[in-house]
Amino acid sequence: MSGYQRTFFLKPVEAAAAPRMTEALLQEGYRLRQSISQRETRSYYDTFEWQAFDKGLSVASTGRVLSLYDLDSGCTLERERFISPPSFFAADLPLGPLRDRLFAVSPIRAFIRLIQMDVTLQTWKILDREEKTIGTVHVESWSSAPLEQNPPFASFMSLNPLRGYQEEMLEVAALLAPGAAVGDEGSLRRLFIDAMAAGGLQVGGYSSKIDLALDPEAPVHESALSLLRFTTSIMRLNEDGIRKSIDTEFLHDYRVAIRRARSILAQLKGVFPPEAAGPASQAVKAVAAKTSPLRDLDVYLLEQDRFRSWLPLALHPGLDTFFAALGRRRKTLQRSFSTYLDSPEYEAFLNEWNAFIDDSLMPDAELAPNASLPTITVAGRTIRKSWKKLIRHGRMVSSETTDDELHAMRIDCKKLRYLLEFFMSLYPAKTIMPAIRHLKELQDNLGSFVDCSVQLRFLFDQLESAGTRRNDMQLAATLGGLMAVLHERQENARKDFHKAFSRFDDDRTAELFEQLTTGKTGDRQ
Amino acid sequence: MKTIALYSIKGGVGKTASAVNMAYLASLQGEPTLLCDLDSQGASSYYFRISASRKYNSEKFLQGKNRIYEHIKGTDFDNLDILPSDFSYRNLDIELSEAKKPQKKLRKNLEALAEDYRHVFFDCPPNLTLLSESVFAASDLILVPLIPTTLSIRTYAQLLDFFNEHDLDRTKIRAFFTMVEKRKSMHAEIIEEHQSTPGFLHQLIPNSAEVEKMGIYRAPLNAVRPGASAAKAYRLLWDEIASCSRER
Repeated sequence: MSGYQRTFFLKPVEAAAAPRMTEALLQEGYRLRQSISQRETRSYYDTFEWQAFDKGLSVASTGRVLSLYDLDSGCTLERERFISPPSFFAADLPLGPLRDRLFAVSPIRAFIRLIQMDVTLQTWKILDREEKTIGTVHVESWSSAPLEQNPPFASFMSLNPLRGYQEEMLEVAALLAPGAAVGDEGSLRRLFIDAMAAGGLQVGGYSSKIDLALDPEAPVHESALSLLRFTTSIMRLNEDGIRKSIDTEFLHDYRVAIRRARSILAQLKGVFPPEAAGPASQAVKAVAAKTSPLRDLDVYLLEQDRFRSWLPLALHPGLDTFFAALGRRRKTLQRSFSTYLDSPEYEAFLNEWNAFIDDSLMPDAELAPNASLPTITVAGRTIRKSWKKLIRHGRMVSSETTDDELHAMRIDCKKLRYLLEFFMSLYPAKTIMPAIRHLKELQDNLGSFVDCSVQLRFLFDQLESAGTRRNDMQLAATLGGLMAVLHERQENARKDFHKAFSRFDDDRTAELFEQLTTGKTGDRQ
Repeated sequence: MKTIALYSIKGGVGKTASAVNMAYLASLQGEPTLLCDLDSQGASSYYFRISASRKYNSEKFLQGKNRIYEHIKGTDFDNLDILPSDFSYRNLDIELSEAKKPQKKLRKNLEALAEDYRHVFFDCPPNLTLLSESVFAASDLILVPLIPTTLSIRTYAQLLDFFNEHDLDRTKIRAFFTMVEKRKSMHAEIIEEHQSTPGFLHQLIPNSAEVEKMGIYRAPLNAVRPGASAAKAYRLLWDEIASCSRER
């Protein structure tokens, strides 16, 4: 509890203009003493989803140093020597606390250079009539490079009163920056958002989560179209990241958006005329199919470290060969899909697809009998049907729990999950969130089963095509090692299914779904 | 938290200069340090260019932690804060006498600061009053600066008598010689006579124009003239105190 107290961030009247710092503005006898003045080129980084910002952090690179800042206090949390490329992963950093912090933000998403600017930093000490320091004033201005030609697009002013000089410093602030408001808690975050906006960036501008507020009474046709428009916008937003191969999540989000779109078309029965919905669904399915081999490779490449940890050192060279081959193949597939994204064929698909989702005209009642029903009615009915089906199927799964049974269960779960997410905004969070959580626990079990089984099949195919040369033998041994571990995991997941399902198929979850689909509290007598 | 009082019945013995420099030296170790200026003349506050805020007075000082908190001020040095003196401290005694357990009052009020400060220094007014008694009870160590003169030694004896009469802990007291002039034979004789007496510190603080100039620098001597002979002596004295307080 010594020295400077909390920092006050001032919200200037005019966001861009840096305050004029002159002694003439101060009380008589007060002095300004400039202690630091420097210029630097700074770049801000974050993931495509702004995950650093979501955790109250900002990541900035200046010269050869990468720093992590706390967006509440403005303090530097960590810094590390690191020459930052246009995009990088947490794993690219040298071992240390900054790497750990960025890993916690996201282990798989790339940190992308979002904006670069010239920064002027100036710090003044304020001395009172006794020439006692009462605090410091810090002014930071952001300009587009080069500084000389571009006036600042954003400025920050902060006060650091020495202990016991808060009031005096606030008086000083009122003189230096008349009209500026002293920020409250979280004000730096808002200043940061405004400054980024002035630089042309929308903080938190991307999230693949569905955040539409649907109107329960609106015709479901209208709601379904807005869901489709949303998923389409997610597809489009991720195209560039796929082209540039920045990280694997662009393709993943792109594919999820397509699956969601298809799920809307398939699950909301009687909402679209079949002759329009059918071809649209087929067309979007064809696009998704082009991405599947690429996504499979991404999944393996992401598993690299885990696979390595499963195998003895002697089998690591085989693993390296295996991953090197996957990496090369991925590159080829990535290029060909990127070419497709720029092709007239894709453009034609988009035109057709957009024509479908932009057509807001209510379809003919004969072709789409449910189109004009209120959204809430269709949502409740569809969720109920999907949930009942999942329960019915789950109870029928045999004690052997065959592969086919579990694959089918996984698809049932996914369908229900998508429905819950589409219509989340129609329901109170205290009902819908636990329902999703219970379902997710079941999905985790099924997911690990299916992932293992898909990977086993893939490895088996690789093995089939391996020859009998020395290198191939080594590869075969590696694949064998991986398959043994995957098999064990798959069997564990299989064993756990009935337990996981009975946790989902209980009164508690049933009551939640009753509430969701009937709007009433479940009768448990 | 370690509480150290700079105390002397007699004035003008280098008490405030010692308090200011030693508090500064303590803060240099990176440990949060608070200097409480209990002298109504406010000399140590003045040395740090600090005056108390208008609203502060002795009544608030006795109300304890929260009120004290608001009035602590940062000095221009890291890890060193000060509770400035206010002219109304001259009334502290009267108010203490109205308190229920005056001797323990100060100790109790400061307990709450223990989380924030490793060292708390008291710069005490030169007299022997209820406030002094409260300081004695609240301090882990009582440093008594003495000019090597017979008069000083006499007041020191009076202090020891006071401790004996009131059954106070004499082992808290450490005396040291200040404003020492090597050329004066009386100084040398008195130092010779007392330096090995238990309770006396070995390090001497020389008489120095630099110390007097602290009123012009308005900063600790050790901060502005660390190479000055008196500054070096304060550093060695602080080391000696730190090592003897480790032994306690």
